[in-house]
Amino acid sequence: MRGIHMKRGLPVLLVLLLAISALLPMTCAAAMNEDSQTNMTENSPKWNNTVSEDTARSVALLKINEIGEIIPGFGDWQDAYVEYSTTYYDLDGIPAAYSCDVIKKEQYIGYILVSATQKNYPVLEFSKGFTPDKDSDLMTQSKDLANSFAKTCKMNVGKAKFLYLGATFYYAEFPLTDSESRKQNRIIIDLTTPSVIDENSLQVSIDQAELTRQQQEKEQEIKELWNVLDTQMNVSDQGMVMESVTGTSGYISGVPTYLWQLGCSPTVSAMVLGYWDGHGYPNFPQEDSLIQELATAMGTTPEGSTWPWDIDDGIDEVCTNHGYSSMDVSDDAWMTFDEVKSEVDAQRPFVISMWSGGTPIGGESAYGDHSVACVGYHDYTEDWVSIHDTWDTQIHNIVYGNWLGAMATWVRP
Amino acid sequence: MKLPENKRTRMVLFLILIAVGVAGIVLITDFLTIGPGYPPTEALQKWFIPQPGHEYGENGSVIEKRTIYDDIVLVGEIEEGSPPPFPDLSRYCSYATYADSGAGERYLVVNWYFNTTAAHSQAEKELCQYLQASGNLSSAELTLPTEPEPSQDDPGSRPLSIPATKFESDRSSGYFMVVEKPLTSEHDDYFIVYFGVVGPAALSDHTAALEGLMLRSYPFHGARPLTPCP
Repeated sequence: MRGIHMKRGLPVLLVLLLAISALLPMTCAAAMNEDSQTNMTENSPKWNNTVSEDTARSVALLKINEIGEIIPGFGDWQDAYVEYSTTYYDLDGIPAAYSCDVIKKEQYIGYILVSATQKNYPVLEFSKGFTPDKDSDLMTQSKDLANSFAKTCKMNVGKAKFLYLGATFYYAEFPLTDSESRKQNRIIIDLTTPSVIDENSLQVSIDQAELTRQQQEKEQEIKELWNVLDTQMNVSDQGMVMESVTGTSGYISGVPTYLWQLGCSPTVSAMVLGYWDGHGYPNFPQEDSLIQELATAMGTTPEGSTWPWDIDDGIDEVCTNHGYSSMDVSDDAWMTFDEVKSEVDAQRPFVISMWSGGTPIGGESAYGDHSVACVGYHDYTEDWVSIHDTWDTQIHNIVYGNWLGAMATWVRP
Repeated sequence: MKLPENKRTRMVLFLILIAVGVAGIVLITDFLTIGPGYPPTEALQKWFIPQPGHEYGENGSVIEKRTIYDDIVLVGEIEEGSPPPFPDLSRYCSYATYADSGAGERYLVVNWYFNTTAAHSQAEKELCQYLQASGNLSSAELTLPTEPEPSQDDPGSRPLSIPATKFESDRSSGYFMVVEKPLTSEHDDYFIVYFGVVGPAALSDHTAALEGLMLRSYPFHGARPLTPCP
């Protein structure tokens, strides 16, 4: 079924988003209450889905080969091995993730973060960089902050425990003890800034709520991913030859990569029209002028923000101004992965505008509210979309659905 | 004149309703607006460095196109940090080396990024003192067409004149430019950018090649030379 066009879908979307935003704190609060009442025993529901360090290492080993095979720039991860590095916890002290160092020829070449619970996606992050707790400068600053704080209340700082509260949200929790080494309190430092965190602000963080939402809506998908992994690891354990990555991919060649100018929406729209400029619609101006025209037509603010339902109108106006009034430009607030595949298979790049977009695979920063140009897909054990994101000239991948909401703007001749 | 009690209550309720409505609209506006999708610091620290293109190959694998233009090819990777012979001005710095596969020359592009005007001003002073001590400084004017392939029909494609600071030394010679808030005037971004040739060379012989690299960089609108040393 085709998606509902934005013009009709907008009121529904507004209501839905408002409802979600209103429910988030409540959902989170409910989750917190439930957590606080849970007795942390081996028999509690929380522990039934726990992933052991050994399992995490097996998942990491399996996934780095898969990543090396299909992710551009990660080819050297094939035939590498992994070593367990760190356990990260949630705010209640329950393991949330394990990081494993990726090693090749005795050299560190990156890390992969595996969920410590089967209630979340198996692979949470991977990168050729370092987790913040491995950065000695950041750690020194964090310890200094904790010590300064402890001094003000005449306490001592204990050994840090690391927290992972969602993509790129890394924290260090330092216990505060009195003169007799009894734990009295704790202080939490944001490792990426570093800065002291008000614990109350973490309790209602949108990422915690987003996690809860994902767990509810994507429980089945997550379960299937873990089942696939179980099968793959059993095959591996029995000494059988591992099957290569199976699935389908689609891609569009010839979509230009432009760096951010005037706003993400006009920049990625210019990439889409730049593609058509080289495919039978040669009247469009070049990069800078095209982005400027699009920014004006879609009413992008001086800060670079754009009303999402103005994106299709802006593209349409620019197409008409250059003699292509037949170009069919429309918004779709209910984009499905099947639609992504069929659009890419038809060789038509399009704009994806996401709300609270997550971190691209192998990336360091979450997208937030951002427009990207879709140029491909991977339909493997996870569904990925391949994108140009305006931040560099590379092709990135993001897990389909790694956002709070997303809208497609189709551009069809 | 005093309003009856129920009328006053209704008016208060009406005003509260208006306030809630306005707050709701503001919330929806903020919540639904897309963008700006501003590049993160790790992207900005290599913003003016000409990057390799990426394109799908026939089998769907991604191919890195390291040729920037003509015979100019990216050598190695875009590295973090300040390269020799230049001082470490910012923690957000990257550089890349390019080779002219025909002539054999090597070119160096350095991008120092600052997110505060104070850090940028201080760095400019430090750099100026360093450059004065290690080479010759003078003024220069570079000329770039506004598009890589200028169109005769497009009045917007007139050449862009970029005032720069020329630096000449035995280790590297090239052009320094300062670009302030090039993405949007609303965001504090400051860049010091260097396009130069590696090793001793007559800079005038390489200006065209460096202009070619600059053309494949981010637009240099509003660029200026380094502030003269105090």
